[in-house]
Amino acid sequence: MNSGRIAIGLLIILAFAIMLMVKTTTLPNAYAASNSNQSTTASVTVNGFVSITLTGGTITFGNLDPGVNDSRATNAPLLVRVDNATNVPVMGYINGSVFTDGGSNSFVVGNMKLNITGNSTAINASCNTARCSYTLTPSWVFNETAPLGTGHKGEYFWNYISVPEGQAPTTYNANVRICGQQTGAMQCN
Amino acid sequence: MNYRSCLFILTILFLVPISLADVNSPAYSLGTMQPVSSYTAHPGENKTVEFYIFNAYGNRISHIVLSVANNPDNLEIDLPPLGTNIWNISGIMTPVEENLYVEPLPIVEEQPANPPAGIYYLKATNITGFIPAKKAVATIKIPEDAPLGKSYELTINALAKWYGEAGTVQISQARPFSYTLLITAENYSETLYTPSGEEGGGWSLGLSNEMIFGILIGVLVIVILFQQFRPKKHR
Repeated sequence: MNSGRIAIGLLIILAFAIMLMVKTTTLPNAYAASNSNQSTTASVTVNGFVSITLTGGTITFGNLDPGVNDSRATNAPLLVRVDNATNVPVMGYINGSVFTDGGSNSFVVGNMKLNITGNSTAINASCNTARCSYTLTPSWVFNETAPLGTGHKGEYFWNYISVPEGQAPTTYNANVRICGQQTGAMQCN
Repeated sequence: MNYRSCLFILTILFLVPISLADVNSPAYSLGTMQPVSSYTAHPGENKTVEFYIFNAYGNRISHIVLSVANNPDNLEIDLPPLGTNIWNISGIMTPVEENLYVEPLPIVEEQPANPPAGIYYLKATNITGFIPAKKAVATIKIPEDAPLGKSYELTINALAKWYGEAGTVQISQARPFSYTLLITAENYSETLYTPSGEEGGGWSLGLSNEMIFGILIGVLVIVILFQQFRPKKHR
């Protein structure tokens, strides 16, 4: 038998084998599927509402002497209220500016402290944690969860101030900023 | 008049001033709604993002100043124009720099057929009725060379201020709006990526490179073996 012909015959068989392999790996099955699952996507966005209302929004300390410690604001406490429309957990931060007379006299806002209570009964400024002090950068003060139910959630902020010894006699003003953010989604700064 | 009647009248007399005082207390409110925080955008696009500001629980006008608080990639962001309005505040003409202002507008049961200009009515999930609000739109310019798949993070800050306060400490409220913009191609395409780095397409053998290499080696071995064992022709 001619060995060259045998080799050609084997090559043809090998080619058929390769074609068969290709066919079985790439062509779709001739059978109809007994069942078919397809999927699509559905999405819905729940709008995040945040509403915070400050009632009695001024803080007045009146006339004080240098060196006085923890003197309470003369007006009603600041009520910070998370309103009913809020439908997400809310965190609140507070910070303040330097007390200044608009000129060269000033003292740091850290001289101002706050106590946060759930009712309108005043308590003394005994809290010394970061949560109870004003700083130039926002510091966390409250954390309210949602849903808020039928009533407003609110906290009373009782403010106290200490005037440094030797502070020049004049009127000092500052700003207090309350920043409310959806927990985990925003960033107060 | 008996004792109980006197007590009732005294109670009413004490309650009325307290109620009036409560009504007259200034209430500074900042309400916001951010419908979407994650967007897709394509290179070169001017992407608009929006949020709403309302004043449903306050009794003072909220003066809003917007600013870009976080923009690490220095994207070009256009906010609603900052302008100076002159307000007559208790008889004093006061210039106020603001991007927008929001008057106190209470929640309404029904949306009016002819809503005031610039007022949108929002439906919150946990209240009955609709909240009147103003819309703020910011436009973010996506660079032409923004890489596909990159996420841009940015934060727009809204600062609300109120006037007419008499204390030595002025109060303001801030609210951040964080956004993520994922850069995608403008038009859809889908091609098979092969490990060799070439994008394939069309008909495929369904054979791996290793299988093809093995088959070729096998063919070569068979041919060589047949050449070796082929009987010699005797002339």
